[in-house]
Order: sequence, then structure tokens, then C-alpha cells
Amino acid sequence: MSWVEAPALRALIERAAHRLAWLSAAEGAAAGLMIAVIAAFAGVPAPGNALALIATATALAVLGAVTHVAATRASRRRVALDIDRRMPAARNVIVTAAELIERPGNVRPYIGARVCAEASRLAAAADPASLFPARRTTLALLAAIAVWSLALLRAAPDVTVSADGIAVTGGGAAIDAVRVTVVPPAYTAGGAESAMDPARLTVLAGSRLMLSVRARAATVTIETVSGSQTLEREGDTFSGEVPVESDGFLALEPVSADGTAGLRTLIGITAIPDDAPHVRITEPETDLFLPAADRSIDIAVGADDDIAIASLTLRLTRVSGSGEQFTFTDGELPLAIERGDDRTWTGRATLRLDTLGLGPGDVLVYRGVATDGRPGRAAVESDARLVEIAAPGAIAMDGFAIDDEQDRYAISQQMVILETERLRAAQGGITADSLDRASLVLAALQRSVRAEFVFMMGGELAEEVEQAAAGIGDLDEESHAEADDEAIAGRLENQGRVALIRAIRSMSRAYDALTRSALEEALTEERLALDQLQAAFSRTRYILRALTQREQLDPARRLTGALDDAGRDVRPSAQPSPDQRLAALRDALAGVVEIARTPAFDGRTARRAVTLAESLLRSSPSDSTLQSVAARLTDAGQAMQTGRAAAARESLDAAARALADAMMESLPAAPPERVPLGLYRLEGERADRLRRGGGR
Amino acid sequence: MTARVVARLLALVIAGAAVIDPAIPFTRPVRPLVSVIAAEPSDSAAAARVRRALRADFDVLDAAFAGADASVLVGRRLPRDVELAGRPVFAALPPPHGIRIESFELPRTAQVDAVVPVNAALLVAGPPGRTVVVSLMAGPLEVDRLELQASPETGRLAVRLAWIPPDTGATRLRIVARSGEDAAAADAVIDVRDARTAVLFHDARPSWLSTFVRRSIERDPRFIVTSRTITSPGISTDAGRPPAGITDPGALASFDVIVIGAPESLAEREIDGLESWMRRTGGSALLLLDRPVEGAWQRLVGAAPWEMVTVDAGIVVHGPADSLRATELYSPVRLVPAARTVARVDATDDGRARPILWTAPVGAGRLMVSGALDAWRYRDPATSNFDVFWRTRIAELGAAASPNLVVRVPDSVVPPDARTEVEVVVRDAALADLTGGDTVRTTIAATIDSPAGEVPVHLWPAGEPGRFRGVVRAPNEPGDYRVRVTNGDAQARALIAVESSPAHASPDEADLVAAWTRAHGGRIFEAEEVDRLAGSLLDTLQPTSRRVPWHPMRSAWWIVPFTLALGLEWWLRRRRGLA
Repeated sequence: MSWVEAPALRALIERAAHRLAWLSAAEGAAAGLMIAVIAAFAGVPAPGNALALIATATALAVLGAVTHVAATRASRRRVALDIDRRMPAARNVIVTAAELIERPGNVRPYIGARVCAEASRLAAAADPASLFPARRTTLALLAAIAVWSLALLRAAPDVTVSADGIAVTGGGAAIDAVRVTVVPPAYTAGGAESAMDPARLTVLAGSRLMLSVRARAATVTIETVSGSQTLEREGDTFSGEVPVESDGFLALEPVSADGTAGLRTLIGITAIPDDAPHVRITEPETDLFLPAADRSIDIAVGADDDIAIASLTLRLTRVSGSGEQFTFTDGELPLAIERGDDRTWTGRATLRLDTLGLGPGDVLVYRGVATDGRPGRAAVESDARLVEIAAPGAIAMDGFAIDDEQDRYAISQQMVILETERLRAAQGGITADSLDRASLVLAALQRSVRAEFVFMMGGELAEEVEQAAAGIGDLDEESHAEADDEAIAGRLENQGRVALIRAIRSMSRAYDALTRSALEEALTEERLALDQLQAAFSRTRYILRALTQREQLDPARRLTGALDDAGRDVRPSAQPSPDQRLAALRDALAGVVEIARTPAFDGRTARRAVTLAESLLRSSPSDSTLQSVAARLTDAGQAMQTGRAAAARESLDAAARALADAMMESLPAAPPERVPLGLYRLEGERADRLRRGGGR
Repeated sequence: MTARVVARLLALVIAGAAVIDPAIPFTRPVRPLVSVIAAEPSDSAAAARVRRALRADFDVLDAAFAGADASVLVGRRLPRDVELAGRPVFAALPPPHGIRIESFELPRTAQVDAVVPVNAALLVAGPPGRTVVVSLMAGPLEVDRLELQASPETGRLAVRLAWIPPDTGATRLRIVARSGEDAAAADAVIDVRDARTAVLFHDARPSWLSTFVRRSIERDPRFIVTSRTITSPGISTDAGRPPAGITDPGALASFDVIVIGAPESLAEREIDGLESWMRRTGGSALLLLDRPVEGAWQRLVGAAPWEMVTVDAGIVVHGPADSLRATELYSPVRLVPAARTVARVDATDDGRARPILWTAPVGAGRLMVSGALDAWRYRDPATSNFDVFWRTRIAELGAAASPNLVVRVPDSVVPPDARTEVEVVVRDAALADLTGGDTVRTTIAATIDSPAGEVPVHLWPAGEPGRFRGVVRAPNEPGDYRVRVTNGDAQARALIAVESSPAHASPDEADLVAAWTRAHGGRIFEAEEVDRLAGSLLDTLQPTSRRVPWHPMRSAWWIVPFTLALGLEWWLRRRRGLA
């Protein structure tokens, strides 16, 4: 073994170098921790986020250790010198030996061997731990850790540990992330969609919201308009399911192990209802009145839905009989479906009347029927159309003719005459078939007008109609006797009712003529009907049906009485009824102002902001303005909670502006500043002088 | 009597003269005295430059001084104390820079159920068409915001903002305009009250128009409505407690606005009562015509002749920001003097515009006349602003009516300890008829809030009957303080907001400065033209001689002969062995 090897000396130097490296690392880590403490007091990272604090401190400690180890690398190369300094008995033997080992050619071998032997002897007796004590460094590191722990406690107060060992903040229980998966109703066959931290959700009514909440809390409760529930926990993730049937909100509240509630997270919900299908018969466009059931009719039915049509059919009802003996027979006609897409269908069919066994006077009522996929929803029917086979001399059936379309009621007798005159003028230029069709349409119009007056008379015209067939010039004496109470009341003195009955009779005749395409005859009867209507509605006539004894008017309830009883009517001043929505908006604005006036935002102001948002959503979940304001307030609350005062103020400003915009729609403008009285007086004096006669 | 005695006497004379300090008047040429006045605090730097430049040739004061030989006004505004400036007055106009808020207008009081209009005018210097962001702050909240572009030609910008009071009480409003690095602000304070306008509807016969206008007003919480509809002689339908009639002006004093339905049915003495009420109280009346019938009302209105126009379809009657519809229009061919059109139809069949709603002063009161006879038929909000139109008009009439006691603080946002004026008007005294040598006695008392309690405010007659003026010192702590004035049972109040550094609107008055300068014998220069300004001042100001007192003993050099005399006297005595 050469003297250069000196294993004991080399081992001592190596162990000492390692020890010094570790001590350097510990000192660097302590320095890094102290920097982390200073940063934490300066608000970096944001208070309340313990994980961020720990991560920052760890990073700074590691960085400090590495930096310091690297910085002291050169000094560790001179570790033999350090050892010699700390071993007075060595008398520079160790450092000399270390240099001879590095450069063995600079000395004679026996000298090198002698020096190295002495150094090895000394090295064998040396202990690096006593040469380089770690006590001060360890104390510094522990002190740094202690100070940093205090800073951590200050920044994240009330740190507790829940039963499963997960760190849970007390006052700082918080929701970190919310994932909402919207599962639409199964019948829509739509896919689920997810959203992270949504402020608002617009979903189809009947959807389910699958919630996955990541929170630093012991429990998370969810509150809706209808109630509250606790989400199921798995680690730091909480999950639950909420069905949505109407507008509302979700308020997610984290609660720590000690029962302290954290800041709520609000999510506004707009539920879009699934509209019922809309069905309409597009062909033919009107009811038909046919002289015989010997033709085919092409029928087209259109249907659309906001999601998808499930079925579209055509239902038929055959009505036969007369008087009170009617027979109703239901049936269904298959449609050939043309699908534009799932939401728009068109069905077509040909109705062969000769196969339905319709006789004179029979009526066929048909309507389109559609369904969508929503379970439990009844099928939706279109307006009913009818085909009536006219009986010679018969009056069109009342009751099936009144259409839902309001504009049909507006058709006047004058309009029927006008349309008949137009058809007569065009008679020479159209085919007979077209003339028949157009005449039948006019017959339907005439019947609609007639039906109006029939209902005006109370719908009880059977007797008069029978009289009409025999001539209605005079009232039947028997009927007159039966209406004795009316005679006593003197109501039969008027002839308006008679004129009205005559008008109805003429309309019946006109209808009959139109079904036969006898336009001249129809025009004569139509004009006669118009004359009778004008007579009936003249100012000296009463057209109201006379009342029976039971229906006689109560004079006590009419604006009549003895003249002596007349006196001054005194009432209290009218008080305006408060506008509830305006009051809610004003209260919300006052709440925003109060929060904004707080000099410094903290957790308490954050909770006030979120509570205000929740009260807005609770008061009117469907109000889009309030939904928007609530979202702003929630943003403001979250910004306050995380120390972002500027962002909180921006959100509060936006909420105030949204509230003001909504209120402006229903508030009048205030008048301008009052003009000083002196100016008014001067103006008045000037006006008086200009008028010359003024100034009393 | 030797040199020793002479030296002693000389020393004694010097000492005695120093004690007497004689003043010897004499006339000598002096440097002209020029006062340099900064129009606004922002002009201080420019004023300092001017002072430095003038000191070489003039004695310079840094305040307005009537005894100065000339004054130099630095800035683009006329300061309040410019009247104290000695003539001639020169001006150094700094170039416009940044953003200037020339006006900031809003009502000093408002009701809680209305949108408060806030109008401002800006002057934006710099590149043409700069974009300016204007914010309205109510306390710490930004309640309205607009982004506008200034006129490329003039740099001016009209801003219309709005504020909705969330509650009653005092609120500070601040408008802030920003464009790049430039910013400007102005402060105001508004007193939001829950006061309601008292409106009396008096229908001489049932009137559809009056009925539907009344119903609209009754639904507005800003008004409290009392009504009487005379349905037949001696029979009426009343709501609230209307007065027995409108012939007695005293019985009408509690109402701000009186709306007359079917005015053609009013008797002569009722018209007299209405007119007296308007003249004595400054009240506002609205005549709602619904028939083109002549009557005593036309004497009150004064306009004649009248013409009737009927159109087939409802024609639009355009108001200031709203409209009505009507088919029957009754309007005077010519308006009475001093009358103003409020709403008009642009053109009927003859293509002529007509005043359908117009107002005219009657004494200190307001009379408004509506000739939209059948406007009540068009009340559908989809086609007409019937409700909004009449609510706005009657609110304006209510605001025009003067309460019995008015207190006003022209400068209502002030720094701590500032002195500010208070104006008080007692209506009944101000409108009293004193032509017959009558006198009117009024007792008023005023106080201002302070942190230590209420402090009395001294008010003095301001030259006209019923007008008083006083000066209050604002409290030294920032906050909102009320000036309260009582006159018998009547009470009124006004707000003073104490702000540590208030900002005010400051219009650009360069034209006014130019006119003032020319009228006071001076000239205008750009602020950079200081040398030319100095030259012009030298040319204008004649060398003056001034009779000034001379105090010869105030020179420190007297110590030399005094010491020499004493020393000589001592030396002579020592030589002679006397000392």
C-alpha cells in the first residue's frame, strides 16, 4: 500500500465534506423558509389556501438548500484545512498530508510516508461530528420551521384535522371546484354535458344535475328552492344528484368539522319547459260543405316540436243523425309521414268520402293528433275541420262550425255580401268545379256569421226557426202567452228580436243557395239579412233576449235610485299598489350599496354578498335580471374570500349597474332642478307686462 | 468745549435720533406693482412662471389687489376675486390640456321613486375624437358608465348618465372622466327624500281625459292625489279631502299642482281663485281641455283665437322625450307672450305644426294647457306613452311649484372649515303684494349640524322681501351635514358635504377671460409668451413716482460713526487722564 493512499485520512476528509454539505443544505433550507414566512406575511400566496402556502415554503426551502450547497462547494474542497483548524494537536499535519496526496511528486517518498502516517493516526482518532457540530444549524432550521408554522396558522386559521386525516379548515372551509353534469330526460335521447364552475345553467325541465364538488370541508350541503340535502363524500370530492323541474338555484355550502360553514357557491338554474307539439291541418284550408259524399279529399297535416315528434295520426269522427239523436263513430286514417327532421313532420292522406258511408246531413270531423316523447303527456290535437254533406233545405249544424280562430268571428254579413259579389263577377272566368268550391267556402262563412247571431239570441231558436219555415211576420200567440212575464215587462213591444230572427232566417236561405252555387239567389237573401240586421240594431230596438222571472234585474244593484238620496260620495285617496319586483330590485341595490361601503372586504362581507345573491334567486328564480345580478354577487363574494378586492368591486359595480338598468324600465325620470322662485316671479312679471292686462 | 465734547455730543445725537426714528417723506420713482392671480389651483405652476419672469421689472404680488398697477390673470377661468384685481388686467392663457368637466348637473333633491338624470359637459383636449370613459360613482359604487367619443371639431362631449336612489338620505355622487393618462372629476351631493307631490284634481264635470290622467297619477307613488268630480250641481265624488272649492286661494295652499278637468265649466270666480293661488304661492295648474268650448278659462289662458283640427287616425303629439296620440286637437293660433310649447303635432292636413301642450307663467306660478282633447282614447302602452307622458308633466309642474320655505347652498361640496353661502327664500313674503305700502314680517331661524351639535347660522336680509343670506363655516370633519331652516311651522333643509379634497366642475371661460381683459384695458397672451407679456406690461405701465416715507436712522451703518464717536471721546479722555 503506497503512502499516497492514506485511507484513514481520506475517509475523514470525505465524511467531513459530506457533513459540511448537509449542514449547508440545512442552512439554505432555513433561509428559504424565512423567505417563505416573509412572503406569507406579504400575502403571497393568497391567505386561506394552506396547500399553496405549504407548496411555496417547500419550494423555497429546497431552492435555498440547493443554492447554499452549490455556493459552499469551493469551501468544502478546503475541508482538510478546516479539520486542521479544529484539531490544534494536528499542527498542520493533516492539511500537509492532504496537499502531498494531491501532488505526491513534490516530495520525497519517505517524507510523504512519514507525514501521511502521522496524519492517518490523527484522522483515525478524529470524529467529524465533534469537529463540525450541527447543533446551531439544527436550531436555526427548527426555528425557521417554527416561525413558518406560525405563519401558516395565521394565514389559514382554525386548521383542524378531520376524522380521516384530511386537513380541513374551519372558518376557511371552501369549495375548490364544482363540476356539473347535465343529464337530459331519457326520452330526448340527448347526451350528458358537463360544465366546470358554472355561474348559470340552462337545462331542459326534467333533466338531472349530477354534481361533483371538490372541497376542503367535512360536509357539503346543497340547497335548492325545494329543500336541501347533503352530498356524499369520497375523499375530498362530494357528489350528489338534483332533479330540475323549474327555475331555481343551487347553493353549495361547505361545512368544516367544527360545524363552521364556508362561503356558499351559487349556481342559477333556468329550466326550459318541453313544449307540446304544434299540429295543424294545412290542407284543405277550410271546412267543406258538399252536396254529396262522392269525392276524395287530399289532407295534409303538419306537426313540429321543440325536441322531437313521436307520432302523427289523423282521427276521424263521423256524426250522423238529427235532433237529439246523433251517432258518433270514431276512426283513424293512416298518414304517409314525411320527416324533414325529428322536429318537423308532415303527414298526408287521401280521404275517400264514398267509403265512409256518409249520407245527406252527416258530418265528418277530422283532426291531426301528434305526440312527443315526454312520458305522461297527452296527445295534442289540431283544430278540427269538418266535411258536411248538405241536406236539401236543411240548416247547417251548429256546434261544429265555430272555429277557434278568432278572426272568423270578425266576418260580417257585409263581408259575405262583398265576397259573394266578387265571386259572381269572377264567375265567367273560372271552372264550374272552382265555382262550386268557392261557393262552398262562402257558405261556410255565411254559416259562421249566422252562428254568431244564433248564439247572441241564446242559442234557443228551434221554435223561431220552425216558425221561420212557415213565415215569421207575426209572433205566435201561443208563444206570446207563454212569455207572459215578458209581455208584462213590456219587452215584446220592441221589434228588434223579430228582425234578428228574420235576418237569421235569410242567412239560412243564403247558406242553402251557396251550397248549390246559386249566387244570385244567395245575394238576395244576404242583402235581406243585412237589412234586417240594420233594423234590429237600430237605436230604438232592444236585441237582448228577454229575461225570465228568475233572471230579472235587481234594481238595488243598478245605478238608479231616488233623487233625494243623491249625495256626495267621499272616498279615501287612492294609494298606489307597490310594485313588488321594483321593491325587490331596490332592496337588492341597497344591499349592494351597503356591501360596497364596507372599507375592507373579508369573509363576512363575502358571505353577505352570497346571501344577498341567494335571496334574489329565491325571491324570483325565473327573473333573468336577478339571475344575472346574483351571478355577479357570487363572483364578488368569491373574490372577497380570496382577497381580490379590485375584482370584488368590479363585480359589485356590475351588479349595481344591472339592477339600475332593470329598474329604469319601470321608473320615471325625475324632474330637473327647481328654478329659483325669483326667476319665476321675474318671468311672470314680464309675461304680465307683455300681455298688458295681467297682474291682478 | 473740545473735540471730546463734540464726539460725545455726536454719539448722543445718533442715539437720540435712533430712538426717535424720524420719517422723512419724499417722492421718488418706484417699480410698478403687478398682482398675478392663478385662476385655478391647476394654474399655480404657470402663475409661478409668470411671477418669476415679471420680478425683474416689477414688484409682484401673488393675489388679487385693488391697489396694484396692473393684474395678470393666469388661467382659463375668471376667479371669484377677479373683481379685486387692479386695472389694467392682462391674461396669460395656458393651452387646454387633459379633460375638463365644464358642468355637472343634477337636482339637489330627488324622490326615491324616480331616475335621477345626471348631465355633464366635458372638454377634451388633445388629438381629435379621443375616446373618454365616464363613470358615475355613488359612494364607492360605479352605478353608471359610458364610453364616448369627443367631437373631433370642438373636443366637447355631452354626457347623460342616470342614477337610481336605493334609499332616502344623502348620497355623494362623483363623475369621473378618463382618457388615457388624463382624468378629471367633479363632486355633488343629493338629498333623496320620501316627499310626495300633492296634486288636486278638480273636475267641473265628469271628464274622460281628467279621469284617466288622474288614474295614472294615482298609480305613481310620487304623488298624493286628492280629487273632486262634480257630477251634478251640489253633488260630487271626492277622493281624500278636497277643499270646498277653488275660489279661495288659501284653501289651495297645501297643493303643489292643481289639475282642472273640463275647465270650460269653471265659473269666473273659480278662475279668479285659481289665478290668485298661482300668483300668491307659485303653484302650478294644468288645464285638461276635452271640448272646444269657450269659457272663463280663456281669460286665464289669454291666447286667442283657437282652432280645432280633427284627424282620422290618432296623430302623434310629440313631447320632450315622450308622446301622446289624439284625433281632436284644440290649439291657439298664436301662443301668448312668454309661453313655451311643451308638446306639438308636427303637421296636420294643412302642413302646419301646432302647440298642443304649452305652458306660460302666471305671476310666479305655472299654467299648462292641454288641447289633446281625446288623448284618453289612446292609452295602450304599445302605441302611446299616455301614463309616462302625464306623470312626467305633472312631476315637472310639481317640481316647478315653490314650497313655502326654500333653503339653498350654492356650493354644497366643500373642504373642511370652508366658508360657504346659504340662501333662504320665504315664499309668502317674497310673493307678497307690497305695492300699497304694506309690510310683511317674517321670523326665521337656521342651524347647521356639526359633530358637537347644532350651530346657529346667522341670516341677513338679502335686499328683497323674503330673501335671506348667510355664511356658514363647514365642520372640520368630512361628512354630510344639514342646514335646517324654520319659519313658523315650515321647515326646510339643505345638505353640505364636507370632503377632504372636493372636485368641482370648471367651465372653460377663455372667451369670458378675453372679454374681461379687453374691458379692463389689458391684452391676452399665451402662457408661454411671458416675455411678450412683460414687454406689454412695461409699455402699458407709465413710470410712476410715489411719495414714500424715508427712515434714515434705520440704516445699520449708523453704528460706525456712533462707535467712532464713542471711541474718540474715550481715547481723548484717556489721554487727559480722565479715564
